Amino acid sequence: MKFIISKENLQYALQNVQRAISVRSPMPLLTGILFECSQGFLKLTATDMELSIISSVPVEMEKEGSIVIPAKYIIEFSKKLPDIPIQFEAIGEGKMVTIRYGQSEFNINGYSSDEYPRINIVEKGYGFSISSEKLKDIIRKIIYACSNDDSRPIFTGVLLEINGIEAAMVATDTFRLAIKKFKVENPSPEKLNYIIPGKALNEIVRIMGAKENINVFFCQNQAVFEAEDKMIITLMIPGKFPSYQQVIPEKFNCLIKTSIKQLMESADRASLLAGEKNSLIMFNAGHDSILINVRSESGWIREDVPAKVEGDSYEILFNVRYLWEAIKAHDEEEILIKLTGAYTPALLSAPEDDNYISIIVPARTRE
Amino acid sequence: MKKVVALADMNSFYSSCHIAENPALEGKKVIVAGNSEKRIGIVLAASYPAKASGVKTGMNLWEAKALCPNAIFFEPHFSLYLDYSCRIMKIMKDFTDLVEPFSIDEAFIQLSGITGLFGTPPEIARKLQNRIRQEIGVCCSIGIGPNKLIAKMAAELKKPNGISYLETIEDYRRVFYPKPVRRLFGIGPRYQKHLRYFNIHTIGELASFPVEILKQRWGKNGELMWLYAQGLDSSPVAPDSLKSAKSIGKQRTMPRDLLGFEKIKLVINELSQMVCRRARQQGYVGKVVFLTLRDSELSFFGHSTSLASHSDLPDEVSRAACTLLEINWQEARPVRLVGLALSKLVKKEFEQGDLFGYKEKQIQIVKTCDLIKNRFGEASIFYGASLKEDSLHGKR
Repeated sequence: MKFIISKENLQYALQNVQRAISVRSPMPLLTGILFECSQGFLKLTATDMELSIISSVPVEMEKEGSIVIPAKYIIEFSKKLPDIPIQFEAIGEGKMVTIRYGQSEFNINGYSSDEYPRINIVEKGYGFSISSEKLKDIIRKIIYACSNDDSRPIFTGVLLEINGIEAAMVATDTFRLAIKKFKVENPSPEKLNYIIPGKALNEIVRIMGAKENINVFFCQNQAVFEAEDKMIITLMIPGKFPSYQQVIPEKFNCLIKTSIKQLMESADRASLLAGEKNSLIMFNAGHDSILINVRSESGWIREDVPAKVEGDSYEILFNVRYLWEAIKAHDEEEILIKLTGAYTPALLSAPEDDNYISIIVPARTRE
Repeated sequence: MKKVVALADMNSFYSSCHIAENPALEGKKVIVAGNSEKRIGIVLAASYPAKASGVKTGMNLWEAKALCPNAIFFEPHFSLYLDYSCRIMKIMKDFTDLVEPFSIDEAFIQLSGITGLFGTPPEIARKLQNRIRQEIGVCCSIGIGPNKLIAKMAAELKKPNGISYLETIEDYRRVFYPKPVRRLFGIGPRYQKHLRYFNIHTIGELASFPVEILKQRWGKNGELMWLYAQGLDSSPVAPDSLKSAKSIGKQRTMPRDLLGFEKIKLVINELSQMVCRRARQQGYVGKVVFLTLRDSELSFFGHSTSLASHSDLPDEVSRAACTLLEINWQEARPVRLVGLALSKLVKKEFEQGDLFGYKEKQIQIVKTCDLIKNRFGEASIFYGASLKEDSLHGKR
């Protein structure tokens, strides 16, 4: 393997793949990045056996070949390189690589690429294509509701439901839930359900460009997201997603319409005091405002947000972080908050759009 | 109004309790130490006559026996001490509500505000001392000062049964500046040694030392040490300071080694039940789960993880602890001790609801079990798994 690459391209490719490296893997090989050079392109692969990321960049190729380079060194080293053409050459039967930059060189022991796990995409199943802009927006709107608690893996994933051309992504950590409906161009042959790890979706948001076309397809237990020069492959989470349809409230006793900006600013200020306990009291008083109250050992704060309130008045206790994250994911000017009671789930949506809703479960004061 | 604080420190508290129980021991050499049959353990407390023969707290039991072969030895009896401590605190509370228990045998009492009722600070101290001596039968030394620090240090001046009054910070400086730095509150042998390198030997030398250097060396503690040396302390007498627990934990040493995750998980599960029950009884929810394991070579392992949200439910705590076990422990390694703690506690003020009713179900189970346990005792209801061989059940 021998090629010349610009610093910019090298860093771009390394940044794309780096989150898939398993830093603490017991297999030393997996702590490295696979460099493969062929047909004028350098292809980088990193995997932790669940999530794999592949990124290709053009290079000035002199000789084909491949090697696994320890990620720890190559990532740090690439940042410190001067901005000049950089030459890579595998030596010693593909177990060491020499990196030349100007008059200097850096030699690092690597691993032979023979044993690096190959990512096999078996039997390409159903798929659709979507613009990166649209996909990233869908993910951003629901991903905050995903759980980080590895002891319940299902909730660390996002449900992707496709039925004909109707599709939806759903995330929940059981305390809140977000649903974004969208349409796909290629209708599915039947009703399909996939649970995709939140980690993989976060990577899509991070590395996919603003204007790319992404091919999404599924094969057995893998989901693949393929753009022109990069690919994300992830194992899907086995199991059954809870029947979320049942918990979406339908009848409401109170409708509140308010400005997202003002509500967010107020919730943000109030959250300062909520601190460790994450508590927040919100109640609608009268007909023209929402009051947010937080009381802690350090003091108290009252925020008065102008709003249009119709229906019964409730005093509701929300976790401030849940409320704030849910509002933040909406990007219209106004938000509609629909309440069913003081202890039952509240529904948030844009005033005239039911393709995106979020649900927050309030807290109950201690009896 | 000028602040006046007193610290009452019970003299040789543990041994005094045994003497109070049996007045015939008055004036005898009484030593409280670990198991005297097995000749293991250390001296926890010694009466003044025993101290006069050279017995010190922290000494090995056999050393104490060599010094005082005819002393009367007691094994520690903590519930007795706790009972005495509560009765003493109650007497203090007859004077004022502003009593802050500092340990089992010490408490701060704010005197400013009650001088109109009971007289000058030394008069109040004398009254308190007499009442504790007459009603409980225990002597105490009382230090009085303009803040908690000075009160605490003044109490060390006259023992036993003394009253020391340092009215102003100047009085403190006059008395304490020439004394060795080790006498300052918070300075242990390690600090003493390090301070010697700075040529600091007395409290006065520490007080006049440039604070920047201390800050550089020990950070916040360095600055605190310097302020203490000056006799400055602005912390209030806080009656509830001991009431807020920092963590709740339980640990058990197994009669024989546990091998295999299944057995260890059973014990983790049972410990979670106990820990969470105690958290609920005290009205706390915790965020961090700490798992301690010890193998048969007695080497320690401790790891912690954060829960998604504060909890007092055994299922959530035990699930987190089991995940810690699986990630960090090799299944083939036998386990001798299992410990579980819940920390980052806050008072439970609300319960976060959930969408699919998982939590609601657990809450109902736990609540019902609590009611049954409250009425019929801790062993009245338990999980079927606790009937298995290596369970803690029946051994708690």
